[in-house]
Amino acid sequence: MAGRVLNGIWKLFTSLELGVVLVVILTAFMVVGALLPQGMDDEFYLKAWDEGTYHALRDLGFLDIFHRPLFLIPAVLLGLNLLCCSIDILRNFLPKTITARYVVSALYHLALVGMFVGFLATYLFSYGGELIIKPGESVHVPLKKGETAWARLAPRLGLAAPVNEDTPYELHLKSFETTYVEKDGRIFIKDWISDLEVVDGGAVVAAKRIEVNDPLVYGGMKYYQAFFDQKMKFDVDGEEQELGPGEPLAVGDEMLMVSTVKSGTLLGDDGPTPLGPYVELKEMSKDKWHRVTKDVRPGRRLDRGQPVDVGTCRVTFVSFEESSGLTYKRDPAVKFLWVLWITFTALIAVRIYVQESVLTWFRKEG
Amino acid sequence: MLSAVDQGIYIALIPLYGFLAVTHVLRRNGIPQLSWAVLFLNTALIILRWVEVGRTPFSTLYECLSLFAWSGALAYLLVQRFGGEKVRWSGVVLFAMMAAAMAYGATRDPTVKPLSPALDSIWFEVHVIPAFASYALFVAAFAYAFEYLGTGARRERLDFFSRKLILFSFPLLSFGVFSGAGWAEEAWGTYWSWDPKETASLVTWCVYLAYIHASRSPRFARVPSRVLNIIGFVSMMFTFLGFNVVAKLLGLPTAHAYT
Repeated sequence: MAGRVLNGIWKLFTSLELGVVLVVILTAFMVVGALLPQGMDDEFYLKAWDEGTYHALRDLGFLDIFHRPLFLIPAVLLGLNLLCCSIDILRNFLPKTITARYVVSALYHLALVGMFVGFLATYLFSYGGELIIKPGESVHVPLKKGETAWARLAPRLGLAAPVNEDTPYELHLKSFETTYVEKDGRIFIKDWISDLEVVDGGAVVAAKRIEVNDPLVYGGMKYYQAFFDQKMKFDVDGEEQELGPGEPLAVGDEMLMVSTVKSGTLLGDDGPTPLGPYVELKEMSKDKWHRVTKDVRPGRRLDRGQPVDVGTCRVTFVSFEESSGLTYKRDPAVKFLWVLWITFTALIAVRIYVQESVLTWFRKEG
Repeated sequence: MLSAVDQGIYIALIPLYGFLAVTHVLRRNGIPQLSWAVLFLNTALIILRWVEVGRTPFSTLYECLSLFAWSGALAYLLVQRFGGEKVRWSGVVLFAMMAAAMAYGATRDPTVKPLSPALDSIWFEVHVIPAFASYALFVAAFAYAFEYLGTGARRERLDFFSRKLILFSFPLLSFGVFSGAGWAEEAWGTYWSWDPKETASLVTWCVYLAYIHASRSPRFARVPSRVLNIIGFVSMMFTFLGFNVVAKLLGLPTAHAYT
């Protein structure tokens, strides 16, 4: 009886049809996840929808669908389906005939199973965060081990949960620079560069000038150049206003958009030259739903310390403070996933692109 | 000067692709020499744009739609040349789509802009080229699938072509999706963030994965797999183009919208 049940379960999990059905179910949930913004705060949703719609969608789990059993259960079942199919392929073909085609097929299915395990490891163990550092500043990085899915799960399994702690070393930002290029009279950001040092026990143990797409790796942690932060001070007719990026400036009765501060190095054909600091003032631009939109047209230039008349008011861009925005992340599964991704892609390409005659060349008759 | 020539060719390609669709209505396989000549002109456009922008010209929607038309037409013409199957409606559908793509592209801003810091990476080419190659083959596969809606007698043969094209393009799509994840890991530290566009690309991958498996299953091989082929195409088009519009309409937060 038990044997028959197990046999039935095995048959179910080795069936191609189950795989197709599970992929279709997961796809349907992914469509929902793609069309409904995921994991935002209440305020975000309530701006777009009425309360009833929001609560209905939230209660159905549609606003955090990728972390809900609704999605995770079919995903795990698909992983099991893939594992069983891979074992079945190997089991059926090992004793009699081994063709390279079937070995390749079993291996890329197994690589896909491994990727599922890797995704699970990322979900359970990865942690990270954001840092805003001013040039010259040093910080201990908070390791948010206590905020991982594993930290929530471990106590339920009777295991000790990891706790938050700070890195024993300090991260020091020597300097932060923005580079620009000019195209058709307009200035565009080329890159953000942070000159970072890792200081442990008073000694510099690692250093790198990081930029977008080129992180610093130290102690299993990766530090990425992600964004920048600016605080600007303006004087409008003797009244001081402090603004962050995207915040409007009140000039008389008008609210004006302020661009980010352009300050750094302009990379031109004649070599690097200093740029700014200056900002541009623009009229508030809104779309048909009256939402403030980004206006790419050049505005009125305000150099630091040089007052200009805007309407009846005298506006001065007084000063600014700039910080580097870093994200950091530790994900123990990433290297494992890289290997599996390359294996999977290479094997699936071999399986499809290499002629069957070449693959069957490795055939062994049992 | 280059910019004016670039835009002139771009606009000229709209009626030319439209005309190729008409030639397929009038005659099976259309006029292959003319189709190749139009493809040659599209190739010249891409090279010209490449020279103009000083980098691979695949970053804005204006550039990507030209690449899409070129790669779709190339995939179709290669299959037509080497497959030996005379087709009509697949050519009509394909070239009409290419004309529509160019027409939509012509409405977009053609201004040359430097790449944003995140896009300025070797990953850009590594990710975009295989993804577009797969899109092109999926378009051709859909065009062949469309043909057999009207020609029952050759259904098996056209089904075979469609399946072969999808099989050929699936590793490219896989490479495109996974290299995108690798790039995100290098740039942001998170290889997958369930961004709507990332999710849409995974949906496309899953639908074609389901198609490949369904087409080998005795129970699903016929109608369900053909339906999956069409859903896969719709999903691919949504990932590439529809998403941009929907993201704007629904205000979806995304790091992947075209400019």
